[in-house]
Amino acid sequence: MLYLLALFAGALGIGFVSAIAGIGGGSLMVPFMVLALGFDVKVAVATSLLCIVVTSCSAASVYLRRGLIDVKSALLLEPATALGAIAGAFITLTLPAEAVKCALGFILLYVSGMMLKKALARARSQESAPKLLPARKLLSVAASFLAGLISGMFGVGGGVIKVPVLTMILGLPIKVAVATSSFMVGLTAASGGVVYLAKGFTDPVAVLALAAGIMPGATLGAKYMRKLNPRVVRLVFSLILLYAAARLLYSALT
Amino acid sequence: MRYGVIAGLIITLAGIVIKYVLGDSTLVTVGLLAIVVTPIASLAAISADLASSRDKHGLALSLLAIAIILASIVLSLSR
Repeated sequence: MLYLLALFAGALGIGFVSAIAGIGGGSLMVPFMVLALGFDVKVAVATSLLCIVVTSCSAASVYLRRGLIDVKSALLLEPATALGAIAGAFITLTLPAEAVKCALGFILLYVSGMMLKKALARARSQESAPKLLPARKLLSVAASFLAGLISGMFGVGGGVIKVPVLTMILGLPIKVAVATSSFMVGLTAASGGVVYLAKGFTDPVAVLALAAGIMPGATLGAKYMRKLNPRVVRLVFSLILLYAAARLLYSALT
Repeated sequence: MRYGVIAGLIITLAGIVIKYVLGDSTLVTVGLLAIVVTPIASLAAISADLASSRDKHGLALSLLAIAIILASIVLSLSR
């Protein structure tokens, strides 16, 4: 019972922080489950992927209704992303838990660095949309495969790669890119999640507790977004990720 | 999409209760599968839209994505 409350409270906090920082909760969910609650890393990844499906579907349904999703770009990238997620899930299932922890530590270091850069950077004017050449399409498909691979391996949404791909390579406006990424994240997480589900790694009780916490947390975060400085939140978020990465690397290497 | 995942969560919750009382976990699996299948079902709905608007390129890509995800289900169940 206590661990259910801890899961719910943690998910509430993760939903709140991630809504303000503008990033999916997956990068915090897996370290929270592994480091704070002692979950097996593969069970945490599997459970996180299903929670990502829940949260992403809730957001994507709103974006679809508002017509913010660029379905053509999503369809161009999704086959490669889904393939990457499935491959990533199979890779994680074959690797020893310590290797997964170590690799996750490095991924969190990267995400933390990206968040820190974003928090410290000055606002820049939006670049004009680049011309969509076949080489750019190919590059975006390759990057999407990588995003899927990371998502399937580590139980994260992969939005940290997808949004830059959609804005910088395919030239979508940031709002459309975030909406499109949110739609794609659900499909990607479902592709990876189904592999873990079939192998019996998903914890249904944890899925319920996390989903029950993360949705109101994200709603609260969206509500308080204007009152809090997003740069400060990003800074705090990146420091939390840095701490989680250090703990994961330490526990994997010792 | 939202109703699909909410239905999945409710079925999973009911399944957990049934598993606790009767020891049968079938409904839990059904609930979790419903969550996973929801985005795929929305992709199928988009494919139907694309088919009706005769967008062959978009339809081919959406069918490819569905085929990859379905193949992963078959692969993970068979291995």
